Amino acid sequence: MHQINMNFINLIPLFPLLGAIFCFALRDKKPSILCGITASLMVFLSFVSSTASVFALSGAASPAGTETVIVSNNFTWISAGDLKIGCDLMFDRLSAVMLFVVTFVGFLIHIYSIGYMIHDKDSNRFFSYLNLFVFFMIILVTAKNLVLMFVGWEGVGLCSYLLISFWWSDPANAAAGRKAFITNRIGDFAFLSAIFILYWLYKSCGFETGFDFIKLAENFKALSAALPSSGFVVIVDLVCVLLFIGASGKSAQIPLYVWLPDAMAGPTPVSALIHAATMVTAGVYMCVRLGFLFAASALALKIIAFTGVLTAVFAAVIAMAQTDIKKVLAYSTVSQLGFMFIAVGCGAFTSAIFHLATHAFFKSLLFLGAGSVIHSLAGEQDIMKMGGLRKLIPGTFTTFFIGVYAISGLPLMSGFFSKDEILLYSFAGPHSSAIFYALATLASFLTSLYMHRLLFLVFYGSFRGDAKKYGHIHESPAIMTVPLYILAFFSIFSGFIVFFKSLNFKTLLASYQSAIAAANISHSSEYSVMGIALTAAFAGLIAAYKFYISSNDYLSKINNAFAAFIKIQENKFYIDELYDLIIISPLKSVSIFLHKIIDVKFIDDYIVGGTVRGFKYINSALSDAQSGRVQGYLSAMAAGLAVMTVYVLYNSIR
Amino acid sequence: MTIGLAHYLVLAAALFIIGLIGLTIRKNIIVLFMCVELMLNSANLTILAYARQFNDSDFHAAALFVMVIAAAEAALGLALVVAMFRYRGTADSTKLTLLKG
Amino acid sequence: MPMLISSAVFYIFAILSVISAILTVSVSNPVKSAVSMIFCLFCLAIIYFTLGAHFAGIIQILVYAGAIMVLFLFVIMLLEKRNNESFDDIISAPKIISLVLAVILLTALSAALAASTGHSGVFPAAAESFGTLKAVGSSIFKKYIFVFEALSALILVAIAGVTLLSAKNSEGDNK
Repeated sequence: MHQINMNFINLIPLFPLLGAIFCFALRDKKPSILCGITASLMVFLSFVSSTASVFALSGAASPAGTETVIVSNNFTWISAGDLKIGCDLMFDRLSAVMLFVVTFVGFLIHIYSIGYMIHDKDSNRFFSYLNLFVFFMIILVTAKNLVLMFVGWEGVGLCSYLLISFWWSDPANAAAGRKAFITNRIGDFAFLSAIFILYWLYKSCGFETGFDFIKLAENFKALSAALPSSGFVVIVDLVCVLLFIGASGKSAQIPLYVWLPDAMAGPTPVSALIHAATMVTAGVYMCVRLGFLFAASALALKIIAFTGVLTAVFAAVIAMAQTDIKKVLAYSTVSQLGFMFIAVGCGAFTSAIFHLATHAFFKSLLFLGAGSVIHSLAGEQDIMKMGGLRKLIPGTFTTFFIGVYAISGLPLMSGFFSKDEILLYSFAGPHSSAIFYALATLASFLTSLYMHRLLFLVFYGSFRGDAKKYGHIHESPAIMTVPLYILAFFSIFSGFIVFFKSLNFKTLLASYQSAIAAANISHSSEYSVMGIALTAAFAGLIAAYKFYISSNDYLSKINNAFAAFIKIQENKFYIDELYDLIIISPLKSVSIFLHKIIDVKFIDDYIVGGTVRGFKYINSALSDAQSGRVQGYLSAMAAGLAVMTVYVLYNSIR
Repeated sequence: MTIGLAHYLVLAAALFIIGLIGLTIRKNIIVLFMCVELMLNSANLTILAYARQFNDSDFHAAALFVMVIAAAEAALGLALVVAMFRYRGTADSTKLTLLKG
Repeated sequence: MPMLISSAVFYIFAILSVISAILTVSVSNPVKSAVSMIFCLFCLAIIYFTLGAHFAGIIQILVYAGAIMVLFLFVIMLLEKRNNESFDDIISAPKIISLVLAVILLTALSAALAASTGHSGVFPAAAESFGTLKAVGSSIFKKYIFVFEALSALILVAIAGVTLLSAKNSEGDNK
C-alpha cells in the first residue's frame, strides 16, 4: 500500500471540533441563529476539505497494482513499552465514501436543524453536541489505527447519549439515553476484548503494529503462516465474532437492537443524522475496514449474515404494526442495517458500503420528512391521527414519496441498485446461501409493504386527527424543505454511480476485497434476481394499496384473523419485557444485595469507615504530639539520638 | 593515672547532655540560652582536645570562631527574648505554642 | 608540670565544671543560674589551659565569662521579673524521660569512647609552637582569613539585626 503524507487531512475533524467548542461556550447565552450558522459552516468546511482530499488522492501517482492512501502521522498518543499507538489519520477510498456521507448529509441536516430547533431555548447546546458528534464520527472514519477508531466509536456513543436525552427534563428521554448508552456498553466490551486479543495475537508472533490498519493487514498473511492453522482459525473466529458483537451494539442488530427505537426520543434531526445515516452504520464500516480479518473467518461471516437476515425480517415485521411515525422509521433502519450485514456476511463489502451510502440519503430524507410532518402538525407523531396531508404539505409529500420509493427498491432509484446488489450477492456471492437469499427477499417485500403503509396512512385518505388542528397545518419553512429536495435528488440519482466506471466505485475496496475470491456471477442470475426483487417490491406496494387505500375490508379481516399476533407485533414481540425479566430483574436483585450488604455494610462501614476511624485515631495521637512546645520536639530528637547511638554502638561491638 | 583524649571527650559529652537536658526541662528562655552556650562549650572542648591530639593549632582558630558565633547568637537571641517579652509579656517557653498542630 | 598534678587539676576542674553545669540547669533563680554558668566557664577555661590552648582559655574568660554572660545577666535584670520557675512539679513525666535519656546517652557515649581504641592513652608530645599566640594568629589571619572575614560580616549582621529588632519594637509601641 502506497502511503503519502498530507497533514491537511487533519483539517477535516478540526473544523467541527472548533464549532463544537464555540457553540458550547455560548450554551448559556440566548439562542441565536449564529450558532446554527457557525455549526453548519464548520461541517461545510469539513466537507470541502474532504472533497479536496479526494482530489489529492485521485491525483496522487501510485505504483501500479497498489492503492494510495493519504496519511497524517501526528504524534504518539500512547507509548507503553514496545507498544506505540499514534494519533494518526488516514484517508483512503473507503474513508472518502464515509466522509462524503458524514459531512454532506451532516451539513444538510445541520441546515435543516436551524429551522427545526430555532424555537428551542437550548439550541446552542444542541448545535454544540451535533458538531461534536460530527467530529467524533470523522475521527472514527479517518482513524489510522484501531484504538483511535475506538475513541471515535466511544465519542459518537457519548454524543448519541447526549442528544437522545437532549430534552432530559422528561425522565422518559433521559431513560432512553441511558438505555442506548448501556446497551452500547455491552457491544463495546466485546469490541475492546477483540482489541486485546488482536494485540496478543500480533505481539505473540512478534509483529509490532500499533494497531495500524495498514500494518495489521500487511502482516496478516505472515501471521497466518506463523501460527498452526487450526489454532489460528479459532482465534480469528473469536476476534471476528467479538468485533461483530461490538458492531451489532452500535448498528442495532439482534439482540442489541432494542435501544434504537427508544432513541427516537431525541430531536428528529438527531434521529436522521445519528440514528439513521451515520453512527448506526459505524458497525458496518468497522467490519469493512477490518475486512481482511473477516474474510479469513467463515464462521464469523456466517454468523453476521444470519444475524443480518434475521434482523432484517424481524424488524420489518415489527415496523408493520407501529403507529408512531418515527418508530416505524427506526425499525426500518434496523431492518436496513440488517441488509448491510447480509452484504458483509456474504463477503460483498463494497455492496455493504454502497447500501450504507444510499441508505444514508434516503433514510435521512425520510426522517427529515417525518420531522417536517411532525413540525406541520405541531408535534403529532401518531400516524393514526394523520392522513390526507398530500395536498397540504406538497413539498414534504413529494420528497417523502421519493424516499419511500427509494427504500422500497422500486426501479431506477438508489435503493433499487444497492439492494439489488445485496440480493445478488446473497444469491450468488462467495458466501451465499439460498436461505439468506429467500429471507432477504422476504424482508425486501416487507420493506416495500410497511413503507407504503406509512406513506398511505400519512399522506392519503382523509385527515383522522383533531379537526381543530386541520386548519393550522402548514408547510415547513424553506430552510427545512431545501435540504429535503437536495436529499431527494441524491436518493434518486446516487444509485447511478454504478454506471460510472471512471469513478471506480466497484473497485472501491479492491485491497480489502482481494481477500475474497471474486465471484463469477452470470448475467442470467443477475437478471432473474433483479426480476424477483422488483416483483417483491411491487407486491409490497400493491398489498399496501389494497390494505390501506382501496378498501379497509382486507385490513379488518386480517386484523380479526390475526388479532393475537398483531397484539404481539404491536408490542415488539415483548422483547423489552423479556430482557427485563431475564437480564434486568436478576441484575437488579444482585445490585440491591451488593448495595445493601456489600457496599453499605462491608465496604462503607468496615473498610471505608474503619479506615477513617483508624486515621482519626492516629490523627488525634499525632495531633497531641504537635503540641507546639519546641522542647517536646527537642526531647524527641534527643530520644532519636539516643536510639541511634545505642544502635551504632551495638553494631560496632558486635 | 594519665589523662588522655578519652577523658576530655567524656567530660564534653557530660556537659553536652547536661545542656540538652536543661533545654528540654527548663521553661525560662534565658536559661535555655545558657544551656545552648553550655553545649557550644562542650563542642569547643572537643575541638581543643583533638587539637592537642593532632598537635595542630588550626583547631584553636576553629574554637575561636565558635566563640564568635556563640556571641552573635547570644546577642540576637537575647534581643529576640526582649522583643518577645515586650510583645507577649512572658519569657516562659511553654506559653509559646504557635507551632501547635 | 608533673603528671600527677596535671591529672589532679583536670579531675578537680572537670568535676567542678560538671557540678556547676548541673546547678546552672537546675536552680530556679535565673541570676543564680547565670552565676554558676560563669563559674563553669572559668573551670572550662582552666581545662583549656591543661590542653595547651592558652589563647582560647584567655578568650573564654574575657569574652565568654566577661562579656556574654554579663549580657545575659543584664537581660535578666532588664526583664525585671524574678519569675522563679515554679518547681512544684519537680517530678514530672518529661523530666523523668529526659533524665533516663541522659543516662542512656551518657552511658552509650562513654562506652563508645571506651570502645574506640584509636585515640585512647596519652596525648603525643606537644610541638614547640603548639597553641602559641603566633601559631594561632597565623592560622586565623593567613589560612582562614576568608572565614574570619565572613564571621566579621556575620557579627555585623547580628548587630544590625539586634538594632532593627529593638527599633521596630519601639515603633510598634509608639503606635
